[in-house]
Amino acid sequence: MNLPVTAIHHVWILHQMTDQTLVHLTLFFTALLIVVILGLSLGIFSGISHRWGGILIQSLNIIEMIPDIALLLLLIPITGIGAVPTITAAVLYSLLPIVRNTSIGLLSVRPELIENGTALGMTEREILMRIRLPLALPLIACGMRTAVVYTMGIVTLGGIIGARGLGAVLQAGITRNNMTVILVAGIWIGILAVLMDLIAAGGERILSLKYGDRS
Amino acid sequence: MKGSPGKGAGLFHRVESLDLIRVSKWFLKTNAVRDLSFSVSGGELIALIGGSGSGKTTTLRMINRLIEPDAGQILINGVPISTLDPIYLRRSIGYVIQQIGLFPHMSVQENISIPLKLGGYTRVDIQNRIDELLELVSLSPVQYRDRRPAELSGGQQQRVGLARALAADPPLLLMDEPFGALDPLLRRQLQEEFIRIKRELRKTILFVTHDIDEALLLGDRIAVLQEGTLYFLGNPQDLLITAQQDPYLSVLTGGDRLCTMRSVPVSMLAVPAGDVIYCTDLSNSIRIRDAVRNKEVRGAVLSLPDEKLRILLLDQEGNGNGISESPVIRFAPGTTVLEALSRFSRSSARAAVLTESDAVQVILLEDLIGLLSGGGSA
Repeated sequence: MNLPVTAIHHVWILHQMTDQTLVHLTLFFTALLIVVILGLSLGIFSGISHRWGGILIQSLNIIEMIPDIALLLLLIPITGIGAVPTITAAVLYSLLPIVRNTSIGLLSVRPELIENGTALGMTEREILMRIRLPLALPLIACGMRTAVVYTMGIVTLGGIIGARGLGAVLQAGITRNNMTVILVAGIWIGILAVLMDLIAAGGERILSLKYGDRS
Repeated sequence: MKGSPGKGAGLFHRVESLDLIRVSKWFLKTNAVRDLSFSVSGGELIALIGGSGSGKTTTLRMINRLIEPDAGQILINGVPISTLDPIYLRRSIGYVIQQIGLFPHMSVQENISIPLKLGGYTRVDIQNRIDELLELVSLSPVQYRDRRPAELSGGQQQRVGLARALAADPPLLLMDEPFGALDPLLRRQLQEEFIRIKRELRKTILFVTHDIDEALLLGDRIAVLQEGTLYFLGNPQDLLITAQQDPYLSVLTGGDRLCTMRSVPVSMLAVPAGDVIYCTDLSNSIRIRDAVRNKEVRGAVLSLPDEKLRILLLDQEGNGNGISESPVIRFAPGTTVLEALSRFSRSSARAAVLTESDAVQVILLEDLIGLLSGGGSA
C-alpha cells in the first residue's frame, strides 16, 4: 500500500488521467441526465396508468436481471463499441430504481390528501403537479441515488468495450498486470463514486426534509 | 367577509335548496344508500347520524361528486348536479374530513391559499383573506401562517382544515366527522367555536357525525340514517320525543333521557316567538290575562317597574280563574339542560329567560319536564 507520490504522478501523466476523468464524468453525467429525464417520465406514466406501469416495471426488472457485463456485450452487435453502448447500458440499468421509486412515490401519497385535492376542485393534473409529485420527491431522490451508483459502475465497466474514461485506464492496468495503475485508477474511481453518492445523499436529505410526509 | 372572486369562482353564490331525490348507491353488491330522499333549505345545518355503514359518508361524497350515485338525482337550487362541471361544483362546496388532510409539504398559509388561487383571487386579496380566516378559527396569523401541519396539534390542524374549506367562501359546507379524532375536551371546544362560526357565516351545512350529543348540539335538523335509508328527519326536540316510542332511536339517543340531555343547551327548548308575549305596559293587564286564559298565548312575561320579571301562565291544576303568576329566573348563555334543571329545583320559578346572542328567549319548566320525562307535548 506504499505508493510513493512520484509513482502516482507518473501513472496519472502516463495514462492522461485528468483527461480521462473528464471523459469519465462526461459519460457519467450524460447517462445520468438521460436516465433522470426518461426515468421520471416513465415513472410518472406508471404512477398514473396501473396496467401499463406494471408491465413497464416488470420489463425493467428483467433487464435488471441480466448481469451488467453481459448487457454491455449484448449491445455491441446493435450499437457497436465505445461510448454509445456504455451510455445505453447505463441508462437501461439505472432506469428501474428511478421508475419504480417515482411510481411508488406517486401511488403512496395518502388517499385523503388526493381526495381533499379533488374536493377542493383541483384537476387531476394540478393534483399530480402540486400534491403527488412534490410528496413523491423524497422517494424519487432515493431512486436517483441508487441510479447514480449504478451509472458510475456501468460507465467504468464501459472501459472493456472501448469507451474511454477511467474504466479504460483500469482495463489497461489489468491487461498489463500493472498493480500500480490498477490501484491508482481503482481508488480514484472509488473516491469519485463516493463523492457522487454523498452529493446525491445530500440532495435526498434536503428533499425529504422539505417534502417528507411526517404526519 | 368576501374577497373578490375571479373567473374561477364557484357555480352558485347561495344555496336556496339542496334536494336528494331517490338516490341510491351500490358498492359491489351491497346497497350503501337506498332510495334516499330529503331536502335541505338554505342556511340550515343538517346533522347526518347513524351507525357505521349507514351510508352517511357516501351520501356526503355524492353531493360533491367524489362518487356518483347509481340512481336518483341530487339538485342544488333546482339544478341537477350531474349536469354541472364537477371541478367547478367542488369549488363551490367546502369539504372537511376527520383525517383533515392538510398537505404536509405546504405551510398553513399555502394550504389555505389553494382554494383562493383556484378561485382566481389576487395576491393581495389572498393575503388578507388568509389572516381573516385564521382569526375566524382562533389562530393568530403571525404565529401560525408559516408553520407546517406537522408543527400543529390535532385541534390546530382541524382549525386550519376548516379555514381552508371556508377560504373561497363556499355557500355549501360538507363536514365528515370533523371533530371525531379529537379528545372530548377539545372536541367540545371546537364544537362551541363552530357554533359561533356557523352563526357568523350562515352557510348551508351537512354534518356527518356518529355522536348524538354533537348532532343535538349543532343540528337544526337531524337526519338518522339506517342501512342506507332515511329513518328519521326532524329537529332535535322531535327526535328525542319520537325516541320515546321508537326502539332504534331510543338506543341511538342513549335511552336515559337526562343522561343524554345533560350537556345539551337548554336554548333548544326556547318557546317559539309569538307563543309568549312580553309586556312592559301593565295598564292593559286584563287583556293580557284574557289572552293567556283563552290559550291565545302560552304565557305572558311581565316586566315590572323594579326590573323583576314575572310570568303569567295557565294554571295546570286549578280550575278557578286558571291563571297563576310566578317568578322568572335568568339563565346565562350556554346553560345546559342539567344546569337549568338544578336552577329550577332551587326556586319556585316556572319559567326562565335566556339571553342567547342577540335574542331573549323564554324557557318554560313544563317543557323541560316534558322533555325529560319524554311523555308529553313540548
